[in-house]
Amino acid sequence: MTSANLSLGDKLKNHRTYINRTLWTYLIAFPVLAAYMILGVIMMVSRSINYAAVYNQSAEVLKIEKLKAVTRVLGMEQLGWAIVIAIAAMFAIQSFSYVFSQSQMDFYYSQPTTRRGRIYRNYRNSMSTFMFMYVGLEIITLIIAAAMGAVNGYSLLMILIETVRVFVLFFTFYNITFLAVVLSGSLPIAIILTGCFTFVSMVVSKFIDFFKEIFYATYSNLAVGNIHLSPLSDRVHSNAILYQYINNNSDYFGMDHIKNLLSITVPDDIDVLITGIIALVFAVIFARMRKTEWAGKSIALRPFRWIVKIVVCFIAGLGSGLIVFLIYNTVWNQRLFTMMCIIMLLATFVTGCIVEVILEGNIRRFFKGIAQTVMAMAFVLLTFVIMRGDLLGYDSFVPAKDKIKSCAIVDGIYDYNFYSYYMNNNDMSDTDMEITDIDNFLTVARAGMATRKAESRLEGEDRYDSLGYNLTILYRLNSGREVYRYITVPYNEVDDALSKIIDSKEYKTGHFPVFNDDNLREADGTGSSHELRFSALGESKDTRNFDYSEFSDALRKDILEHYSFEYAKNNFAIGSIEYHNDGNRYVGLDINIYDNYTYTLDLLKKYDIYIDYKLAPDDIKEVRITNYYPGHDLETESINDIDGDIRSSEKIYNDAESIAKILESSVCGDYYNQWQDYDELYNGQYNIEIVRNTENRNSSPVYYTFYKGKVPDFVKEDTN
Amino acid sequence: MIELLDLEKSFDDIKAVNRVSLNILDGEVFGLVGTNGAGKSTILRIISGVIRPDAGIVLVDKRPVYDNPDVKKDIFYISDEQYFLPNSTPSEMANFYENVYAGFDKLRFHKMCTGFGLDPKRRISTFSKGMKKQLSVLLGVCAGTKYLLCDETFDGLDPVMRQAVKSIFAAEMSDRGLTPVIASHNLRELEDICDHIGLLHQGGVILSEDIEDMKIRMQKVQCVFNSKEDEEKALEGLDVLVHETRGRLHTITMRGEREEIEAAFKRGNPLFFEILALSLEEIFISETEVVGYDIRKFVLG
Repeated sequence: MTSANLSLGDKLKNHRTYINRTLWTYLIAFPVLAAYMILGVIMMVSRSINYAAVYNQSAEVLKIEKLKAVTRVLGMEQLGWAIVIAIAAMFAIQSFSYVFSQSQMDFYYSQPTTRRGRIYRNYRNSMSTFMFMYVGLEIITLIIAAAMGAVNGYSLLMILIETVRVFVLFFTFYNITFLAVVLSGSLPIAIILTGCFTFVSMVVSKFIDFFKEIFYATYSNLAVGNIHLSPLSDRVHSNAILYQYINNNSDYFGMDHIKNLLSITVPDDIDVLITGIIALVFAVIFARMRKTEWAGKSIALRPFRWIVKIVVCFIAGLGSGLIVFLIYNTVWNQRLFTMMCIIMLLATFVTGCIVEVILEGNIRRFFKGIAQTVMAMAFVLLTFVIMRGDLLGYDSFVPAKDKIKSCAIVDGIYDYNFYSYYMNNNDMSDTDMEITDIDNFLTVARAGMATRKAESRLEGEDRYDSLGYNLTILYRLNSGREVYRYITVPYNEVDDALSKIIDSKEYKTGHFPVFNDDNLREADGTGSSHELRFSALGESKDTRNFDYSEFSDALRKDILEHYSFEYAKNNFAIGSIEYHNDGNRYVGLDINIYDNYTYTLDLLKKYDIYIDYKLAPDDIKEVRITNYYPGHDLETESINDIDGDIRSSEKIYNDAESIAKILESSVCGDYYNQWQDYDELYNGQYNIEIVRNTENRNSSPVYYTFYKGKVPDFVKEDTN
Repeated sequence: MIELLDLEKSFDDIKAVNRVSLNILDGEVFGLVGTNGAGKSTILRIISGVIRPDAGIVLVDKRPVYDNPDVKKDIFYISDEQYFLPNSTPSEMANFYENVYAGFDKLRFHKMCTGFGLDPKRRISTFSKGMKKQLSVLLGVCAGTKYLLCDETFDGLDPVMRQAVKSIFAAEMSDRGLTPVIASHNLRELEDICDHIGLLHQGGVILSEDIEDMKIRMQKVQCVFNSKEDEEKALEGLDVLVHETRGRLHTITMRGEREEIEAAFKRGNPLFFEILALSLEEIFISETEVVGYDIRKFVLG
């Protein structure tokens, strides 16, 4: 009987034997995946049940926790994707590693099939094996979860979506490994290439970010470079945001929640898919170009081999520059840039020699293949020159007005923090603030760019003068691109334009998250323990009897009516308010209060936590003044011109007269004010520590600072 | 029929196959002989569609073979280093080939395994080198293909097994017109199997002849002449390839059919005259020495 008469059963049986013999790594992958899914769900759900029993959780809460337990293992925030990546790489290597062996190619290529047919067959076998394995285990796991009451429609939908995402991830990593295999001639090189393909775009992107930080004065670390064509980075990125989102949102199971999750993951998943498709296209092209006799060679395709060598050398060159910067970071100056360039070129050259030896497997090839090494050195030098000379105009870039959709001032005084589960205290201005007064914004930005560059030049000469307000600005362009720049808005020069922006409702409602505190209001309503504390002059009072919404409303009114650039520029805050809620999720805020915040101050009085912020001389026990630079006068000298170690001097004043004079010429500096020119208004040479009478008080010292030009003569005499 | 015309294949700077032209007729046993690196395996790989030639034409039954499954259905290639699926048994390999070759006869395979003393359920990895070669031949024979390409398959087989394989080949050729193409580095291994020999050296074909034709067209004579004049008379007009003399005894290898040679020697009236049987080895030595090669150095071990 010949095989022409084979029954379907026999064909399937033979196919199974073939899979067992050629894709045997599934026998390893299967138990690992089974342990992750089945044991993972059982353990997570039983953990939720135990927790509920110990802490007397309601049935409703337990149900939610059980659903969460299942989605943590199988849903969109799962960690099993790492196993999937490993399986994809294993399957691809096993499916296509026959190209490394002449005897296997003799065996397979002499059979009645085409090369394309063989690739397709292996591809189909791997994909179908993984799908059967994953879906089969998923179904078993879901049946177990359902028996434990840990499944509902929404969780099933989330798991279904994640299944699709997992297939996309598998598809992409399979193709990346496939591409690495067809481009190489041996297993070790294929594994190295797979790693390179996985990490190269991340590494290059991070290096570019680091180099921007090193070379560009206006670089902001908020301008994290987008990493494209990096499925690993995509997955890590989307998972990080998913964790943050899921832990900051209590409405966990619903269509809106799923839509929000999708809006987080879809852009990254599209990048993953595109990477997979590109890898597949290239893999098929190179597989067709690949010659049988390439088996055993490191990288047989010459042009690709050159590209690999140049890229590796280029990355090594940049990396060495980065190491130089990290070592000398604290004492960086112009001379070190030259040293950095030389070391980068040397590192590129040496790497070229080493790569040549590795690719050829011959130590005698150390000084061969110089052309590619020189090309890599040229790229490194070009990169250095472009960045050092800012030939791309990074530090001068200001978008055209008609290309800007809106702007924002992202960072500033940390006055309001939401502490999530992961202790994030993000400034929300980049999402909440939309400034449309583009003209004034660009006026501020242009002046800020120029001043920041001047400041940076001074830093290169070891002079650290504050030339203005340091801000990070954000342009949202019509194209959807977001451009961040770190600038120094010069003091006084563009105050009119800056004032119009800071005083605008757009700025205030975007900058102060009290205008976007719906979650906080809701959390406060359900929270069991909230507290409001007012601190001023080293004292603090707190209360639990207050209404957060009432407090928030008062603060909103004060900010809108009383907060202004002009006022903040000329006045220190008088104290700060801290709020926190230790309910299900810790949240809190810390905001400075000015003396013109009448609504808020009235409310503090109502809550009986108001503290008089005006200090009377008879309320003071002693004043300790420290002169950090005795023998010098920083009002006439620059701190940069003072060399050597100088020991500070102190003087303590107890008499009412001296204390009164000191208070007249100083101001409380406990609360940082972003809009003040400290060098211009205040004298930083002296520190004033005020110790108050402690009878009936539980206070800590208060720190004041002298106004510039108003340091009393007796203080100068006593401390110099 | 397999036709190779001006076939060329290089690996980097090495010319593995250099303008090779051969015709392998259906129903004959074709032997490819040459040293290691002569290009035998490369030619077999090209015929079986494993590698694509740089230049030249390969036709199997008038059809190009590379990436052509329809043609490859008729070819079974046994590589020098046989590959079997990892951890598999002969039975599993048969199952595998059952899906690959429509004409694979599993029943016959199991019978032949028994005949050759191979356990179909035993792991192939535990087989000796010779057993693996036997297994490869059995799989190839049972695949039912028209062409069976064997690379060094007979080297190392013991005489009994070689005889058994020869018998199988003979039966297959007779029953279904199998055409075996056998490559070897040793001419003696092929002498009693092949109908036609292609001799390869440094990528090129030195000689391609039908063995029977060569034997008919070449004679080896031992004789003793009375005088130099008799010798000249006898050899006049004959195509002498090799002429050795020990004392008065002449050993002469020459082209020509037996009757023609006998008639010529009668003219010289030799004292002693005898036509000896020529071995394949001697025929090849004679033929190749004429064109400047000493094949004793590279194919006779």
